[in-house]
Amino acid sequence: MSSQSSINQASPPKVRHLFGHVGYADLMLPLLILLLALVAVMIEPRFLSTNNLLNLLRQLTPLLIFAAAQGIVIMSGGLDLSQSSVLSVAGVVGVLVMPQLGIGGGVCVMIAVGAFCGLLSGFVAAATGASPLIVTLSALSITQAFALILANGVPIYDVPGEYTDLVGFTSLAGIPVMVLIGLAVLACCWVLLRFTVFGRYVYAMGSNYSAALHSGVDVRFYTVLVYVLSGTCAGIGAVVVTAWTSAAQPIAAPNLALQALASVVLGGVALKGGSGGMIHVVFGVVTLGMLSNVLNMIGVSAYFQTLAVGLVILLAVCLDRLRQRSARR
Amino acid sequence: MTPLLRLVDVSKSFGATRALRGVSIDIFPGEIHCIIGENGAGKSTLGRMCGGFVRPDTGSFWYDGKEVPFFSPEEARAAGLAMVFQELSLAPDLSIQDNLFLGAEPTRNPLRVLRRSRERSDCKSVLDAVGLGRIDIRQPVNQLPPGQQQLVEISKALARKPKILVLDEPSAMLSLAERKHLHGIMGELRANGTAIVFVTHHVSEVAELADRVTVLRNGALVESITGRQTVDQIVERLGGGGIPAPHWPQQSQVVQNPDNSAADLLSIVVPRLDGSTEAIRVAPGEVVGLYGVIGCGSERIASIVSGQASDAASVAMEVEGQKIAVNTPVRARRLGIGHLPNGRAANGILPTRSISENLYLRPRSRKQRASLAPTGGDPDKELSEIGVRYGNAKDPITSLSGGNQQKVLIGRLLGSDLRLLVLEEPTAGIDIAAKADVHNLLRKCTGKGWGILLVSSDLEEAIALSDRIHTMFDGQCVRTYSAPTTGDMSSISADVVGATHAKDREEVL
Repeated sequence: MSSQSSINQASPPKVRHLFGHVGYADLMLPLLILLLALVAVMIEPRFLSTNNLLNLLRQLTPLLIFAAAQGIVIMSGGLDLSQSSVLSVAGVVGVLVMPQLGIGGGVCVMIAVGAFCGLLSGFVAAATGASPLIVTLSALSITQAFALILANGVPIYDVPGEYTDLVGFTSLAGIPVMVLIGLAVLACCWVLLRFTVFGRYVYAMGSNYSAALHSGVDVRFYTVLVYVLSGTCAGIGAVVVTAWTSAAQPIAAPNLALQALASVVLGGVALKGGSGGMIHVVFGVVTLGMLSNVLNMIGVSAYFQTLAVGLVILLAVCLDRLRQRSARR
Repeated sequence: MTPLLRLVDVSKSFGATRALRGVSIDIFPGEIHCIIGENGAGKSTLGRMCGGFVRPDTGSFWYDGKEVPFFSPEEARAAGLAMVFQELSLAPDLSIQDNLFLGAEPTRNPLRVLRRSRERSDCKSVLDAVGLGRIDIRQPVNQLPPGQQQLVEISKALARKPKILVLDEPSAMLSLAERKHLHGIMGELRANGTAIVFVTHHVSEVAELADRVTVLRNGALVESITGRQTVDQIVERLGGGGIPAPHWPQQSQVVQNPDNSAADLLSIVVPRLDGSTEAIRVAPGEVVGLYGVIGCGSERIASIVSGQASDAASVAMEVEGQKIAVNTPVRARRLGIGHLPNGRAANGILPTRSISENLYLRPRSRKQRASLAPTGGDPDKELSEIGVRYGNAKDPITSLSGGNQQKVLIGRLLGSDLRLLVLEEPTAGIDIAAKADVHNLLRKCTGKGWGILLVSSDLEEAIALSDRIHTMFDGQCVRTYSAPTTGDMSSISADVVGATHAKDREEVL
């Protein structure tokens, strides 16, 4: 029973990746993505056309922004259910002040409102130690209420045309600005996670909260920061969604937060926190996005699409459990 | 020479348990100060207090010759204290490198880029010191065996270049070679003027390393001795002590089963220290005690017998003469094995439910299964039979004292159709009177012909109850005492701190 293992043993070589540890099990999703792409090309050869791919990317952008933020929150051991309603209130407030402050001012206000909502959630979660599920659930209701009150319950279509053109429909070097924003968010999150003190503490808190505390990490401060980040991303999401739909909806993209959660889990980020990376988020988002894109092409009805998405997530969860069990052996 | 750190007359209570009473300790630079004592003697509390993680109720604190307010963990870190925790302070998913520098980054700015290349070279030197020089520092610590994780935990403290290093039982999970290496490091640190506080229950380590020894017993200081000690000198103080043991009624010998032909209820084969194996047997009506310090392997035996271990099949075990691997608690229960887990609050009671619901949280008999009532039978009758003092059976269980809660938990087992009880620390944290009641309940069980496997870190209790005691050390059985008496205490104490082990080794060498 005593551990008599040699202590100078070199560790076995592992598959490594710029994004962190990627094991063989992580290759499942890329394979699934390839398979989906293959099916898509067989059915519709134009699937691989630049136009269609850019369109697909555009559709994925709001989900990507949300999933990147949700991924970081989950890696830190938290959860943010309030993303969609924070997006709604940020969009409504931003569009309301746009006539006075101009487009730049409006965009800044959207991001600031998002960050502020995240700050409040994070502060409550850190100060009370309450479950993030409950804290962000209440934040969901509160921000949703403010969005409805401020918009009088109806969508605001009074969005400046230059703004929707610029963010929603302009391209830079052939890539839509919207997609560029999404990629920039992804890149920022990746840099934060991989190279900064913040990233190390996010993983540490998610992996073992009390170890982080005992090691001298200011866990409360970093909890607040994580939710500020998530709120900020919801604000950026508001910028993209209001421009794309040319409207500020008081209930905008209600399913987006849950879809983001689903794609993060689908991508292989453990819900208990402490592991995973942006690569997993990307895999999850692309798989989920392509799945619905391909099902659309085949002509599967929306009802069955929802069913298919549920089954794929279930499959991912089962695979994840199997992977963890084999890792423990 | 002035001590670098002094704790004067400190006391600490956790609820009703007095962990420390009026203990003083001086810690000098360039010395290894060992704190030794049995389970529950207050060693870890004293160690954690030095590191700022436990705030005493009374007493004073001196640092560098001046009286100062008690350190918080942050202040302790700033003053150059580093702590190696018994339960590791590592984030399992993070790489070795990330763990070593977690919280020790030169900057508090969250957006600051990590200086990984500098950290990498620092890593190498620290890990070299503990003998992990060739390890891949990018692999997550949860992929390391427990011994190496412990070494990483130690390197993490070393990376902070501490003036005072507090080690809380660091060697429990280390192999002999790793332990030797650790001792070497401690010697080097001592030579460089670091003050080391070493909390341990391995007496051989104390004999080998200590410049100063503080012996604790039941939360009180037995003696603080300067200078190197031999194993025998330390054992004498540990067992004998200045504090008399509480008086225990000698066991009213349980119904002995003279009929040796009756099949043993349980037989489980455990390795022995001398290389052979020992079959731990429990016959009907017998109490068999397993005694040892934390991590000695007795908890593991309890979890295997009660169906909590996933690898139970790897151990040779027989239940009533049948070779059986008990792989789930449900299966254990079907075989007639009941389990009282350690940690009443965490693993025993349902704190938000009533006394009777807690009592009837047990598999129902066939007759009861037909009924929809949440409880079966007459709670008042059962509760008075087991001697619980309570107001109303519908009151929450938390309205009872710890001792009465414990009786309810034992009553839960008594009302089931069982043959063998596995009891872990059945009287932990309850008062003397309740202890006696619990002991009487257990005798009632053996009177019915049930067998009991008792894991207790309370030596007096183990002696009073057991027909046989197996002493355990390092996952192995040391010796077996039939019909133990208080006269065996010093010998048993020596077994479980590895003194027997150390002597055997000396003889071999």
